[in-house]
Amino acid sequence: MNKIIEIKNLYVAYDDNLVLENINLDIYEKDFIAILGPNGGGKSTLLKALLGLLQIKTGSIKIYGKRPNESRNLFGYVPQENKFDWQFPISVIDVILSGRLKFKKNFNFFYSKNDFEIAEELLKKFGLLDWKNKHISELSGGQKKRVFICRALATESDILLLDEPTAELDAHIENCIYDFLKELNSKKTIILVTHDIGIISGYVSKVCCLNKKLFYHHSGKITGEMLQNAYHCPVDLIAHGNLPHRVLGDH
Amino acid sequence: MPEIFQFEFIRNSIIAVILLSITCGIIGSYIVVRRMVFISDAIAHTVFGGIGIAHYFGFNIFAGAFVFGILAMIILELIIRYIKERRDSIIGIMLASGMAIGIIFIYLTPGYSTDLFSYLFGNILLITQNELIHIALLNIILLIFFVVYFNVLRAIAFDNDFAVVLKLPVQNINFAMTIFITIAIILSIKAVGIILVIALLTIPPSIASFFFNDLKKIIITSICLGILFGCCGLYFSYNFDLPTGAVIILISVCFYLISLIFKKIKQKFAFHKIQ
Repeated sequence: MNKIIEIKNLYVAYDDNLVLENINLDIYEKDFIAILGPNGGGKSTLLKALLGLLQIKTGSIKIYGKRPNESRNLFGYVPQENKFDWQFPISVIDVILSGRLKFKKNFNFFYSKNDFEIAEELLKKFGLLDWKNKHISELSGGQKKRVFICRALATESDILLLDEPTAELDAHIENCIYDFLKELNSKKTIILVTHDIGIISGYVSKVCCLNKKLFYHHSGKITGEMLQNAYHCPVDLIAHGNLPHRVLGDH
Repeated sequence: MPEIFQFEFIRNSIIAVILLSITCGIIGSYIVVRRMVFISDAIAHTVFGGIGIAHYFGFNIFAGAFVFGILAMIILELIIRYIKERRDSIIGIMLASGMAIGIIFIYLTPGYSTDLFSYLFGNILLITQNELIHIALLNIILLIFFVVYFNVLRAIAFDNDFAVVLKLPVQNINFAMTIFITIAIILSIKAVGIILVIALLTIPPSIASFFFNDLKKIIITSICLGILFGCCGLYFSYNFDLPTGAVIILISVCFYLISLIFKKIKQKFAFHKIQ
């Protein structure tokens, strides 16, 4: 398998506060990798570093051999929702179409017929076609999440980057989202971060735990040791919903 | 022709109302949906420092105000980026400093009092042909910019980070918008003055956003509302001999309150229908 992302000896600090310490991680094509960790453990910082949205102190990140600010448009980015202004006047289809702006240049930022077809195709696939012209605030939490996944897919990127894809969703919708992601994984590399440990293991191929340092196990299993390292305390390893308990490994 | 149209200054004022409504409809909608009202108000107050300095040294007033406004925005960005103080506190201090500098320099200039009042409260009846041409030029550039970059502007305003990830020209466009906002404010100060200019920019889009959830519709509605309020304001201020700028703003505020009540009633009605 091709190595597409290589993180080496990465340190990131905000002022004097070290947030990421000596991170080493290789990500291969068609990986489905979950980065778990407590709030404030540096998960979003790691994503921002991958996207070249912040300054790296030392170490390097290479994406297809290039630096993040050169290659950031290779990612389909699905951000956390709590930062959005839901009163902003934008419709569902316009949110998805904005992903198509990646392909626009030379003062031509108008959407083509092809762009509309792609957006509608995605809406249909994710069961949102009836909501096409609705204002974004009229959607439920799970629907909004799907809209942002559609927007990321509209960029036709090979790597999907998801920040807390299931935060504040109930277990059933959570599982639906992971089913979607699993299906997408046959064509795309997926990287997601979440603080919710009671999920995902049945779906992902690799898990690592992040709390300033990265604890990595080269498999889809979460071990009690990894979690204890990351969370600094014994963590309850019981999944909810219909997620299988067994994937959590021996503990 | 009715008596009111006989005077050239009335005709100029009507043209000014229409042109400024276009400017403020576009810029105002942008600052309202991006929640930049406070910072825009700060620009309006800060440029007064530039007006004062230009006045004292005999420079072009517009150039003084523009350079001062842009410099203040750049300094603000740098302070926020490198010193990480609270944003709103810095903005508040900055606008006060601009006002203070302006007041001192205008005080030092002989014959200060009338000029001070004309900048603080404006007078649309005194607008010159030259100023009308400036506003018209700004409108043409603004319209072209908004037509070409509309999808990009909306994407940036909704989700700045995502636009950066797509490698869209986010910084350049944000900077261009700061320049447009500053120029639009300076040109509108002539009509309603520093103190009221933010109302001229924000009331029509706020009303429009009660009824529409689409940025294009909000902009078009704001322009129409601006023209309506401006013409009503001119008519009443002419007939009752009142300051035009203040009358325009008061009419806008009345419409705002009526729309607010109307919206609440509509919501309640819709809620009952669901039940």
